Amino acid sequence: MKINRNNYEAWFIDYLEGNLDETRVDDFIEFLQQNPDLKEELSLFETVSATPEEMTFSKKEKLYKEKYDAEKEFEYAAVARLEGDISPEENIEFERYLSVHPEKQKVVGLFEKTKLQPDKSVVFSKKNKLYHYSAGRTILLWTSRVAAVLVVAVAIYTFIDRSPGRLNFINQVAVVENESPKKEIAREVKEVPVKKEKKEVPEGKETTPVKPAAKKAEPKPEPAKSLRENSKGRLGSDDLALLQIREEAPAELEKVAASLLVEQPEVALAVMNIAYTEQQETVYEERLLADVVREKTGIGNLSVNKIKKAGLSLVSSLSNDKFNYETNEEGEITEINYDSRLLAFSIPTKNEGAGE
Amino acid sequence: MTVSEYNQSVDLFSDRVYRFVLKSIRDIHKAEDIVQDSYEKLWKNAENVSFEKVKPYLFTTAYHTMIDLIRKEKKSLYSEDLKLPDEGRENNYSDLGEILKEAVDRLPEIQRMVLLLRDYEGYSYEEIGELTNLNESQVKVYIYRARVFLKKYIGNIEMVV
Repeated sequence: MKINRNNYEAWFIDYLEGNLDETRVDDFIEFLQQNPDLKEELSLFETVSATPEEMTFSKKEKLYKEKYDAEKEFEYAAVARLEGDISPEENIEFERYLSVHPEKQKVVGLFEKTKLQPDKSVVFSKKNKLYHYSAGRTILLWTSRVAAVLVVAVAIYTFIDRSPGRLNFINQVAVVENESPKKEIAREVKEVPVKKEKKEVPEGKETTPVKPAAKKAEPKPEPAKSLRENSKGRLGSDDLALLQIREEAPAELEKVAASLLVEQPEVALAVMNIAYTEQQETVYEERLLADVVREKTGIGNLSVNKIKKAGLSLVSSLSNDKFNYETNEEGEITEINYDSRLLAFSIPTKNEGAGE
Repeated sequence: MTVSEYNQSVDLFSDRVYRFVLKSIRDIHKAEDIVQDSYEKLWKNAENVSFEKVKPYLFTTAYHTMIDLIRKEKKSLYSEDLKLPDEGRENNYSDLGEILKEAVDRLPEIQRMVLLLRDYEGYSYEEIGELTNLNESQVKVYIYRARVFLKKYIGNIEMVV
């Protein structure tokens, strides 16, 4: 394109920047000669040259970036530090970075909060389904289960027996009352006839007081039939003595009732002894065999806690898992639960409190 | 492993395995079943498992049972579609534990399980790798991603507070 007054500006810029093609230089010079006003305009351009000033940006520090300014690098280092997976050199650098950027401490704090803590209140409640036992142990288990059930039954019986117990005691007192006076009466009855026989002998001799003797002989068999009839029918000194004996009887009988309670636990202990007798038999046979049996059956580890567990397991299986118990990590029973459609309850045991 | 050692392992580890499984799949009945299955497998294999290896055996079994279960239910194990809470959302939580619990529930299963093994049981990357059949760097990445997500989740809620 040839230079003219419409496009000369582009030619001028090319000329000033040294980009004007050599083939066009002649045309350019010719054009300037023909248009002196534009030649003068070109000379004005030549004087304009912007020279850069010596200026510096004073806040470059804020613009510099470090490795940990990159979010990913920082997060990676924070997680590695939390996991104990950071190298000592990186850790020093990271600490230095944090000291310079205290605002980043908050982010580190957030990472530290992501460390999960197990909720120890969550426990597996069906441990009793997981336990397994050897054959010998199973026999022992069932023995201990039966023992445990017996203990529970005796305990329940004891509790139930206490409330209506007073009535029972009264009945027992009545029975004993009847027995003891009877013996005494029998003795006295025997004595009385002796006396009467003695009396009869002289009576026979005298012959005159036969009628009163016969009258005395008639009531003699009566006391043997019934005490009440005797007491009602007679008012003699012998009868009064009998009445006094009856009043003393209840005090003694209360002690008899107390001794019955003592005998009940002995019944349960007798069942426990069966398990030990088996062990003793093996001891007599051969000591080494006894050790083997002891290890395999776990008799040596028999404890109250295991008996409890055995009893509870049996109750649990009988109740279709409505009745459950929970144990802690040491195997101690911490809670007993019952859950049915009508009723649900949970009883923490003493072990839990002691453990915590 | 003897019978008494097996029973001891019930006392020692069943709660821990149960917590891990329950927290991972959030279903009480399935968690109980998985714990029972794991112990059943251990019992069947008791002769070949030494007492020292019982714990990793149980966790490995439970982990793989869970993975199978999740696959059956056609859930995505590795979903990265994590949704953070809205920043303007009302804070209804009483403490950090609640926020963290919700955040953990939102993690993809694989990340959650790996993180639980790390935090609950203190397993190393290498041990987790052995339990889960993942390589160590994969484990590292899952833990890293999980922590970053949890941090962001907590951070968003705390900003509102």
